[in-house]
Amino acid sequence: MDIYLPIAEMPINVFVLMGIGIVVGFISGLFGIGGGFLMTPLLTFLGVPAAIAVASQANQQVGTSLSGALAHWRKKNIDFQMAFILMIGSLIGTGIGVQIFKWLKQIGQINLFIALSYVSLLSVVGLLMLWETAPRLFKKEERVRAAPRIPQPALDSQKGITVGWGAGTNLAMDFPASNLRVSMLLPLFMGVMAGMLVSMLGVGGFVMVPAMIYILKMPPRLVNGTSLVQIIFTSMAATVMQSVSNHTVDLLLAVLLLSGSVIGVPFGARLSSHLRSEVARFLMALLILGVGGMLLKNLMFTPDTLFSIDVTVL
Amino acid sequence: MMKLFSSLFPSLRGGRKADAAIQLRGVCRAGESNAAWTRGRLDRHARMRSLAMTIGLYLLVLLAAPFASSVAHAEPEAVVDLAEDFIPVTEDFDGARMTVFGALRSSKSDIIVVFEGPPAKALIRAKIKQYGIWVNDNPQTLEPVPSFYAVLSSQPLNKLMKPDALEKLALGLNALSLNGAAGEGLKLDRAAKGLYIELPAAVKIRDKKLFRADIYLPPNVPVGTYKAMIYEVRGGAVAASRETSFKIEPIGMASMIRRLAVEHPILYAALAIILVLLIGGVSAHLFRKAS
Repeated sequence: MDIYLPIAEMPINVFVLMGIGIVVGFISGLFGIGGGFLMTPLLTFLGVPAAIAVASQANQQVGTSLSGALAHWRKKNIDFQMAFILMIGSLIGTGIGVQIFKWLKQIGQINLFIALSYVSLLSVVGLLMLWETAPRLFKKEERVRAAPRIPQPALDSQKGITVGWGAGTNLAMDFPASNLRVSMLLPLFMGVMAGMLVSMLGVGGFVMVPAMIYILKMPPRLVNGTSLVQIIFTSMAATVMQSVSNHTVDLLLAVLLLSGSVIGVPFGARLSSHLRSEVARFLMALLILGVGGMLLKNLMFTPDTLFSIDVTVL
Repeated sequence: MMKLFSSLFPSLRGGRKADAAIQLRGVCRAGESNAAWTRGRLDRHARMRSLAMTIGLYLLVLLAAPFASSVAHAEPEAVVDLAEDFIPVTEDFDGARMTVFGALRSSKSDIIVVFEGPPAKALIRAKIKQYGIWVNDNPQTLEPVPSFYAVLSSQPLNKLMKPDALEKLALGLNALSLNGAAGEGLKLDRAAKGLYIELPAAVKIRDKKLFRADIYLPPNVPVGTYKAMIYEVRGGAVAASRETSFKIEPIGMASMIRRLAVEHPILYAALAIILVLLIGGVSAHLFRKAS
């Protein structure tokens, strides 16, 4: 059954779209990540223009991250104060990102930019994960749901809280929920980065989660929920700004993807409790590298058509 | 003309507008031969309509004959009509069919029909390989170009007219003044998308009196006002021509969404956000146990 996407201006099969949503949702649930890094390339493989795929994916991400954040909220796994600071940064980042996006669209290099960014981002993250998980995977280890190896943070001996970057400066801020003291510039800056990523590439948590563990030194327990809260607002801002500046948000596309995604997530989440964490992360690394490889192939091989053409009715 | 049909054959007429979003789902996709489905995988409804059209045409010729002979010296206009003057694009739009039909003035005539979409601006970027990857080169603009262009004829164009005559009237893909690598690229691209079409046998002539041309407009057809130009060709020259037009417009949800997105982007974004928040929130509640 085909449906006509009003903004992408193309007919597309409803079941294929929902199928993509279910698969990506399942994978998000399984690995505990947002599915943006998978969703955008899959949509472009289907022929949806990359700019519309990115913006609509940001829109549907509002729904997936709300759904995820609510689950974490019930388990009290959210540092709202941190989420707030990250959010302020990400609003700035989204504003910058959307403008860069607009400029790239004007000079006709947006597709190239998206493809190149995806290839580099996916290969770096994929290789890092592979490097981290592969050795542990083949060791006979006891089955623990191990947290990723975190460099042992420095502790303030008096208060027993983690001391992060810039903790001694005027801008230092205490985050009681995370038991952390860090300069507020760091989460602010990371928020800016996250906002740019969401608005230009439609990806969020997949880079934020490791960054919050390794750079911000937040307790891993709080990282997923906190980043999800921040992504809700970042994606909302991206939706509004993309819609105003670029008219690239396809509401129907977002709703169909999300409808599939919310079905897939719980199944993935259920399966994840039966999967060793190293195995899950190893599989995810392979998946990430696979998607990256496919995008790289598209960049390097001779394209089907030697022209990229935009026709606008006057 | 259609009014004439409907008054004569009210039972045969059927839902005219709905019909345009056509019966032949999936039979012919963009770029495939139009002839395949013209040849008769029409469903019953279309068959009846086709019959009505033929009967109507005969009547038309009968009615027109005395009139035509009385003004024979003044080169009467070719008698033509379109099956539809409006094609709605709805959410489930998967292409539509358009038919042009009419009467020949001479049994020796051939017919060329040109369908032209609204004028457009084309931004063409050649893909070039730099540092091992394919990137877009600086753009070239062609303006105006037809957003849709189809030439249907009763015989191959080069058998009907000389190349320079074709060029003068911009008949045929070769005659379109889209020069250079960019122009050729545009032609290839549009042809691959089923938006630039040449169908050298799509005009059917019946009893040397009536003609009928069917075209399949693919789902990705640009919306706007279309021109249909009908040329009656005899002895290598145009003996008569006629121009008519029809509209392809989005209606229903798709057009509402599009209009909202362009005219009220903030409202549109708000709607998009509320929708996904609702779906996300409800699903979180429904699948509470699973996560």
